Formats: sequence, C-alpha cells, structure tokens
Amino acid sequence: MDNILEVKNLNCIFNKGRKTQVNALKDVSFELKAGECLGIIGESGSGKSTSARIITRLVKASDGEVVIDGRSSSDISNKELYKIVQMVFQTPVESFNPRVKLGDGVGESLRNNGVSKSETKERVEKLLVECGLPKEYYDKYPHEVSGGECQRAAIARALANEPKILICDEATSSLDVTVQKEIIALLNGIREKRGSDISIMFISHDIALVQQFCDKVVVMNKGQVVEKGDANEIIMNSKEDYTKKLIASVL
Amino acid sequence: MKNIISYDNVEIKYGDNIAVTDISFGVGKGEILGIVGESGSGKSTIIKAAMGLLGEGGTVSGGDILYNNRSLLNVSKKERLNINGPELGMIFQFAGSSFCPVRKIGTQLYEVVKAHKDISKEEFHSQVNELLDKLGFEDTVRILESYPNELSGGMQQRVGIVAAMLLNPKVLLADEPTSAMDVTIQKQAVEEMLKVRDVFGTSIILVTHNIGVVNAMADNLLVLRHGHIVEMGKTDDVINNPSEDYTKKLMEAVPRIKVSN
Ligand SMILES: Nc1ncnc2c1ncn2[C@@H]1O[C@H](COP(=O)(O)OP(=O)(O)OP(=O)(O)O)[C@@H](O)[C@H]1O
Ligand SMILES: Nc1ncnc2c1ncn2[C@@H]1O[C@H](COP(=O)(O)OP(=O)(O)OP(=O)(O)O)[C@@H](O)[C@H]1O
Ligand SMILES: [Mg+2]
Ligand SMILES: [Mg+2]
Repeated sequence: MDNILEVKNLNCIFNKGRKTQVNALKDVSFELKAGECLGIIGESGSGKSTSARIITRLVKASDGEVVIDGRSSSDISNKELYKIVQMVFQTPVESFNPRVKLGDGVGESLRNNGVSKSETKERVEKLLVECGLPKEYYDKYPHEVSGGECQRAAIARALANEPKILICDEATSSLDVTVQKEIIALLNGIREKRGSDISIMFISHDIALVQQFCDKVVVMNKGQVVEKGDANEIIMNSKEDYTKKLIASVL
Repeated sequence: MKNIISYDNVEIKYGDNIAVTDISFGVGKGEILGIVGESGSGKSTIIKAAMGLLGEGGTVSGGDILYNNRSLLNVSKKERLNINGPELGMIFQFAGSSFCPVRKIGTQLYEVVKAHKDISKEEFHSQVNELLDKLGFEDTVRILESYPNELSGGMQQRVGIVAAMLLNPKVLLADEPTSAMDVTIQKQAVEEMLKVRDVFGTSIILVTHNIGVVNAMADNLLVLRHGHIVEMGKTDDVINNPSEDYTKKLMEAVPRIKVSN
C-alpha cells in the first residue's frame, strides 16, 4: 500500500523574544498509508496540533518535508492542498467565523469549488444530519450552539468536499460518548465506501477510542515521536516507559 | 446537609426556545456533583445561568437559583463582580476563548487576582507557580509570558483552571475542565480539584463527557437529556446500576481499553 502522507524530519522552533525558544517538534517523522487511520496520542504540548498545522500550512516548519501522495507539499498550491486535506480543529468555536451562519461555513469549500448555491445547501443539510444535527442548524450562528454541536458542524465542514486526507484534532473531545459513537460510525461508513480514497490522521487523548478506531498509532512526548506502529500492539504491549505510564493513567 | 448552591425548578430559554426545564438539585459544602449527558442537552446552559453568563437571548424563565439562600437571578452588575470569581469560579468549556487574545497570560492572571485580593506581585507569583507546577507545567515562566494562542489546547485548559482556582472560590463550576488533556495531566488535574475540595471545602459542579473523570470525582451524578433530568443519584449507583435506558446506553458507549487479545 502507498503512503498518502509522509512527514519527514519535521522540526519546528517558535521564537519568543530573544531569550526563549520553544522546540515544538524535533525530527518528527511518520507516515499515513492510503486508506488507513493513524492515531496520534501523547502528552499535552507534545506537538500533535503543531504537526497537523504544518501539514495544513497554518504553521511553517523550521525544517523538514511533508510529502502528499508522492509529491512534495511545497509543489502543491494552497487551493489544491485544501482539496486533498481537510482538518477538524481542536477548538471548534474559534474555527468558525462568528458572523457567518454555520451552514454557510460548512458549505464554503463547495461554493469555492463551483457547486451551485442550491446544491450546496442541499448537501450541507444532508451532512449536518449525518453528523447528528437537525438541518435547521444551517441558519444558526456559531455562538448559538453548544460546544459539541459546533464540533459536529466542524466535522461536517471537513467532510464536505470529500478530502483524501482528513485530520481530526481532538475532533470528538466535546461529544458525549453516544454521539461520539455515531460520529465514529459515520467515519467508518465513509471509510468503507471510499476505501483507499480516504485516510485519517486522528489526534486524540482518548486512548481507548484510538485503539478501537485506528490501525496504527504514533506516540509523542516533548516534541518527539516516542514510538509508532500497530495500534493494538502499542496499546497492549508497549515497550516504552512513557507509553506505559500514559496508558496506566487512564481513569 | 445544607446546600451552598441549589437549583429550584429552573427553566431557561434562548429567545422563545426552552433549553432546560424542571432542573432541581442542590450541592452542599465540599460536595461534588457531576453532570453528564447528551451534547446539546443544556449542561453548559445550567452552569452559565448561575454565573449570569447566558448571553443576549438567554434568560432564566422559571424557578430560582440560590447561593447561600440568596437568589442569583437579578443580581446587580456591581454585586456580580463580587460573586463571580471569589464566590463562584468558572472553568470554561473552551478555555482558550475565555482569555483576551492580545495580552499575556501572566498579565491576565494577575489582573484577575488583583481585582479581588490585595496581593503583591511576589505573592501572586509564588501562588501561580505552585498551581501551574501541580498541573504539570515545567516551564512556568514561558507560560506566563505567552499569549493564549501560543499554548496548546491542553495548556490553555490548564491555565483556565488556574485562573479559576487562584481566587479560591467557594463553588467551582467546571465545564469540561479536562477534555483537552492527556490522561497523565488529567489525573493530576483531577487530584488537584479533589484537593481543593478536601482542604478548603470547595463545592464543585463538574460537567464532563468523561465517565472516568466523573467516577473519580463526583459524589452525586445527574444525567441530562433534551433539557430534562433523566436520572440523579449517588455516582456509583448511577454508573453501575442505571435505572433509565438513556443512562444505560450512555454507560455502554464508553470506550474501554482492551488489555489483551
Ligand atoms: N504560535 C506559537 N508560538 C509559540 N509556541 C507555540 C506556538 N504554537 C504552539 N506552541 C508551543 O508548541 C508546543 C506544542 O504545541 P501543540 O499545540 O502542538 O501541542 P499538542 O500536542 O497539540 O498539545 P494538546 O494535547 O495540549 O493540544 C507547546 O509547548 C506550545 O506552547
Ligand atoms: N446562545 C444561544 N442561543 C441559542 N441557543 C443556544 C445558545 N446556547 C446554547 N443554545 C442551545 O441550547 C441547547 C443547550 O446548549 P448547551 O450549550 O447548554 O449544551 P451542552 O449540554 O453544554 O452541550 P455540549 O456537551 O455539546 O457542550 C443546545 O440545543 C444549543 O443549541
Ligand atoms: Mg493540540
Ligand atoms: Mg457545553
């Protein structure tokens, strides 16, 4: 199977004034195979969101390369990149424009790709329902919905133009477990239907969920990859002290 | 036991839409009440109402919320300033958005404390460093010098907990306080909240989707759905012997780690 996404030796240094530097990523490498689901777990502040933001070009790496579908990301235009990669952000409320209706926010990528207004509306309403929201939510503003409802709208938005790579950054952390189960079922349904045309990078603190949903897993700590491999293998028989400690802390 | 905060048949509306109805419960000194339930069922709404933070269209349209036997509805702006913070502390569901984006974390935390307490910069620093340290931060100087968007999701959330705890409130209203934390930090945060309960007798209303966290913290548990209380009781009983179908479904949906094949 081919890699749809390769992250090669990423380094990311944030300079804070002259004195302080934050080494958010140190030589981070991992790969996502086409059709697979890759979980990313690890310490808060270990660089999970930063890796995702580099892939989606919201942050610039200090060093290293991102390869998408065999091509260096630097050769891919923004427009093309966002057709291939979509992301559900860790803080859903901030990821929507407060003055734009949720439905219009969800449908933005469709409109940008030339889908007509009426068809966009139809498709967005269908997506909202698939993500467990009434279609009337099209007309709500981000601050008028609950945290988990906003997160579901963010999932709908990321799915709207059928990306090849879906990055979920704590995408179910504001959902109760029953709604979470429905979202996972929705994603599994999409995976079944699209096969190797959809690959998922799934950042989560919920190790049990990662074990259920992901094929592979990357464990991060302090800006570095601690270990990576088969999800079950790592969660059930890790050799690394950090991973063992992490798993032992689950309440 | 005497309730420090109680809800008495509370109904809350956004515009003409009823968000929650018939909400009645009480929390005594040093007690922890967990609230779990479906996304959109009204959990944040219930605790925001006590803080007077429902926002424009939101109103308490029925019943009463009492803090030490005094109504929290129709509180003047001036009184609010003395209640929110030192009496009722809130940890917001999305902590990052509760901070001002263009001012440093340290400055904002200092202002919060300074508004309510006569405290020197040195005292403030020793308090804040101790709390940050307990919540797993290694580089506290850097954190205080950061702007909110320079911190990761879980870091923002921990700073949100620190902001509420610095004032040592009598009641802590915690809305998903650990949802962005890795399990190691989550454990530390849970221990820290339990400790303020044990040491200061802080009462806590804990809203969370994490059944493990509720199980570790809450004395009593309230299950909410579609704006109604489905079930309420001792946490152990509700989790292990739920009497309502919805609660059963909720408990069954909790993902659990498989330890072997
Ligand atoms: N714009 C920025 N400026 C300075 N430092 C930053 C910036 N963005 C992130 N960082 C730092 O980089 C590190 C990694 O952050 P990142 O958001 O990637 O963590 P994370 O693994 O997603 O954590 P969490 O699980 O808490 O969301 C943190 O120490 C954070 O403070
Ligand atoms: N400002 C608002 N204006 C209109 N409706 C609102 C507003 N805030 C919340 N609602 C609605 O009220 C209901 C309850 O919202 P609330 O935020 O209390 O839910 P919640 O239980 O906290 O959900 P979550 O677990 O997803 O955070 C939801 O249906 C939501 O859409
Ligand atoms: Mg993150
Ligand atoms: Mg909420």
